[in-house]
Amino acid sequence: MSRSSPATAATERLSLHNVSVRFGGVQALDQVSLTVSDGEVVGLIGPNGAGKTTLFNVVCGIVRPTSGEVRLGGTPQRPVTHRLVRDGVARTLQGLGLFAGLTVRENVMAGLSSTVPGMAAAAIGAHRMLRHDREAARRAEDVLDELGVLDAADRRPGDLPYPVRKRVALARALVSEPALLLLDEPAGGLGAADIADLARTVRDLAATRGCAILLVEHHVDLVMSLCDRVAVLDFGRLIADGAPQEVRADPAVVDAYLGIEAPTAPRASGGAA
Amino acid sequence: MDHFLHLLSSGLARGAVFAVFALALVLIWRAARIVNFAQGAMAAATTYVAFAVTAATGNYWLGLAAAVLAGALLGLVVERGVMRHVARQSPLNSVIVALGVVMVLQAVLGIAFGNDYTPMRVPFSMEPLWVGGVPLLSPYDLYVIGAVAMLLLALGLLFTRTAVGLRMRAAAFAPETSRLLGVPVSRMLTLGWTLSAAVGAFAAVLVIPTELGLNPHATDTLFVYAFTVAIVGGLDSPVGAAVGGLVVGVLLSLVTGYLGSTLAPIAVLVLLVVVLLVRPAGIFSARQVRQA
Repeated sequence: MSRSSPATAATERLSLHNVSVRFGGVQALDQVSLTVSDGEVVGLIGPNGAGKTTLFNVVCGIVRPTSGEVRLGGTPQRPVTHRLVRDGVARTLQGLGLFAGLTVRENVMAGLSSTVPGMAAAAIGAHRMLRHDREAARRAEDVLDELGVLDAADRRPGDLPYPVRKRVALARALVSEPALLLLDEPAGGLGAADIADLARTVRDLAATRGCAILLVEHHVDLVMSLCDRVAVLDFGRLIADGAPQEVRADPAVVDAYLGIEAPTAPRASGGAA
Repeated sequence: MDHFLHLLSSGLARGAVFAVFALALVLIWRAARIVNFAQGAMAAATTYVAFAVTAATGNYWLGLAAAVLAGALLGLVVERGVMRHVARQSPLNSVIVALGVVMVLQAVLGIAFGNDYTPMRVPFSMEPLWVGGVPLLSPYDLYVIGAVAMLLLALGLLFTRTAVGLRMRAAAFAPETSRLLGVPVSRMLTLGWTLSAAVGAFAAVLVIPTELGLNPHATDTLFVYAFTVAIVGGLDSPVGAAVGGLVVGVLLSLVTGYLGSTLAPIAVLVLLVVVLLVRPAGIFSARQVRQA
């Protein structure tokens, strides 16, 4: 199976057990079970509308599963969106979702919102809060520096080219040092050089920090080369979950999704645009 | 010229209060996308608290502090108890509910304290100081300007230099994304109301003594002027509120001085109409417009 699972060491960071989501008559997720362990990079692929974003939204507490269970770090959770960061989960958004009115530094600092001392503590000691703010600014700058965009710290996202904004969004997710990172199309809109940088960053996060990473991506070559495991969703069902080579060769996957990449597959018509 | 200087300086003093009251509107607008039409009545209620505490203790400053605290509390109650439960399909809903809050507050105040104007005492003289033969600002005007400047500075620091301010701005810009980043958005909303109502209470305590005195309707014109200021400056822009306040204050003062006091409110409404026709998003909202 996965090359990175000596079952003794890797702890299960995220696991979904038979998660189903139904929106009216649409079965967005159907009995999906999936795990991501510490230090593991898992790619989630599938045609548009397969349920990838819904799965992210379930983990983030934005969508409540109709049935099934979500576990974080082994404990069953009913995820609450604004507590995610405190629970060690960070997510980037497909549309980036940067705050247009805040500077890049402030955008990244907003990723530390969960670590802010409570209101009562703030009232007692303003100095504690100011110290926190200095610390937050420093951490934000460290992450921006790591991703090579520190010189943009005082600019606003709207003034920056797309690849830089993309790195800022990643910095905002990384600044809280999450144990589980959810990346929604991290390579979308990037050129080859930026994609290579992204792959290096992601691999590094998993290898050195032991971060568990789940990424949704349409860039199949990146997914296959970067991920330890690839899971494939189709019409809300998990049709494959395994090492990249296995998944790439899986006829069901070729049929449902990869067919569009491989002109040899005769029945590839349904999937993505 | 002397007359002009006098009008200009007293206009700035009045404008400073308009600026603060408008800022209270901006705070709620930014947090909740609601124009709080109840702000005037809420501030009248808290000024009664100031009056009662000052009367009981003989101390103006305790009264002021009590009004600000009462404002914070009232903001909390109105948000948690009323506005939070308003259906958000139409912006009109919250306007109508806010007007309901106005009626309830003004009726209760009228029943409890009567509708007569009660003069309020202040710790500084309202006689203008003469500088080089020109009557300029009174000590009370100076106090108002100083207090407003300190408040603006404190709010500016709160929003740009503290984590809470950053979270409030983030929650206002993009609530869904903010939630994902760990911002308790609904608490930030409550905090916005609390802060706004406290700021409104502060402004009312400053301005009511300079007018006819305390009455359940004492803040009605203040609200209309502040609303104009907020529209002129752009509902999204705290800086716009501050500058707009000074502009409207000076405009009122000049029109009153040269054309008569009956024309002053009309001049303000003309300004409101002109801004709405020419630049409906407000003078200071250029960046928001470009980004949209």
